[in-house]
Amino acid sequence: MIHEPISKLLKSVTPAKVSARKRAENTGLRYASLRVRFSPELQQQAFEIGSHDFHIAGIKRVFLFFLMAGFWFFSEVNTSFAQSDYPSKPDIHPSSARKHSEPLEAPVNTVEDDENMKDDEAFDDEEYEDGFSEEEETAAEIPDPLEPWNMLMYQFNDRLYFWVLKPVSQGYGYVVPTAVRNSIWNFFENLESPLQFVNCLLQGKGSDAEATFARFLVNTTIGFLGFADPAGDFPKLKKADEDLGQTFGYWGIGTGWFFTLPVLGPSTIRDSVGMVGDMFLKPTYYIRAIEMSLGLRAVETINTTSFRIGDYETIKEAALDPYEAIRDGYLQLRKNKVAH
Amino acid sequence: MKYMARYIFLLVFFIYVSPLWAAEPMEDLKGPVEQVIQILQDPKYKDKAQSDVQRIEIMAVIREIFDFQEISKRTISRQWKKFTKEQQQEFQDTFADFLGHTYYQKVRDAYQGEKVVFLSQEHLENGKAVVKTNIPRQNGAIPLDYKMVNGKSGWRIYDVIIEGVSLVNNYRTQFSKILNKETPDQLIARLKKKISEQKKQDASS
Repeated sequence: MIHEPISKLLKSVTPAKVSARKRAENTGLRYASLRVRFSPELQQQAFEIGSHDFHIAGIKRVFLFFLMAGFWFFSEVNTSFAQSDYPSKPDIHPSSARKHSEPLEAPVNTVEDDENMKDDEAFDDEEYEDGFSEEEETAAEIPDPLEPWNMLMYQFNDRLYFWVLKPVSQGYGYVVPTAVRNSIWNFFENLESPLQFVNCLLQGKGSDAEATFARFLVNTTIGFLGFADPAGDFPKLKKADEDLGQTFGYWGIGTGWFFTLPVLGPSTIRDSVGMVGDMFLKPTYYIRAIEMSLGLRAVETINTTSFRIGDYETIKEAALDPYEAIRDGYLQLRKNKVAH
Repeated sequence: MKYMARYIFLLVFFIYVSPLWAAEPMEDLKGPVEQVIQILQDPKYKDKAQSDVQRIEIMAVIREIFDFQEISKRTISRQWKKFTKEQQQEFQDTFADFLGHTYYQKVRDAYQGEKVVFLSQEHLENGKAVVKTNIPRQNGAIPLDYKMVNGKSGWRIYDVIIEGVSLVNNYRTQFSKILNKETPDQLIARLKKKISEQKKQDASS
């Protein structure tokens, strides 16, 4: 009894194509199967028959989630170790160094911090007395042990953009009128609402959650399934920009290492875990046909990119080290989003 | 008599305070921004051959409002003391030139008569302030904040924050990585190389 599901799970992790084809044959909505899952007799049946792959797909995602979570935890622990290894970390701010060097501190620290203090004072002109604390804290201080992988993925994504995504999106932009592209943009924006609603709640942002809910209601009904954006006329129904990665950050969880995902771009371990969690809150996840689901994903990406052509080029051309520029930019952007 | 004292106090207070009010960061910023927009829209620069003239004219305005010395110091940060006086000066000029080239080309090609919306200003400690602006665009505006410091020649910009990403911080990360391996001269050489590449690319496009 117990061997069967495990072997199935292992099988399901590796040859994804088989279950993909099965899923393609079965073009129902996934939530229908979710309902099935919760009825115990049917679930038993499903386990025995084993021909249905819905529970396996679920397990696969949960497995992936825990894998990422484990990886992230590992990186978090490592980062905190790494930081205590670098004595240069706490000396960022002259005044904090001074605070540390008070005699009450442990003697080991004092020696270290005194040096740092001298260092800072040599560096300081008067105008550096202030305002450097939070500004000094850049990606440069966050270690990047996954750099080889990230670099590889950066190059992969770079080529993907210039060779595939950009020409396709440009062509799409020429053919499809802006009004239609705007509607499609709105439609996908609207689909993010459940995700944002839950994350607003998880962060205790009641009024934002309310606004998101009202927005979703208005746009889905009066706005023709979200293709129009009537809620946009009301400043009160402002779009929230929250996701699980931000929620984790709001709870005080650190970013973990910088981690570039293939196709999806720059991320951190924390945000990647968040992304997997967020997946469950996207309506498109519950579409069973994988082609349909991927197709929608592709349309969304191409549509969004068609509005954003030139942005990536600007970032790249304005940088001496594009990889570092994007890493720092991403970390800054996320930090700012968590703070709001 | 009691009230008299209060009025005198208020009067003196306002006299003391008014010069501070005379120069608000947002007011100091508005002028140059308008000027740059005017130069961008000037029909006599329609011809691409006039690009260099236009760029130089814009840069003259930019150099007034941007404090490139402060920007350079902040981007190099801790390594600044390793630069000699000459290197500091050269870096400052090259970096300003580099930023000018990069963003001029982008703005010239992308500008379509958008108006900069000035949202608010906020005073920080130590004679610093943030001016928040917006650039309207399809599907939402781009928030653009200017961090300014009050100096002898009024308020000047020492950092630009685009969608929460500080330009100075971004370059600091890159430069510190380069300076870990290379000398200040090599960094300046890299900047110069990048400028000449941009020029070549612009001429050929």
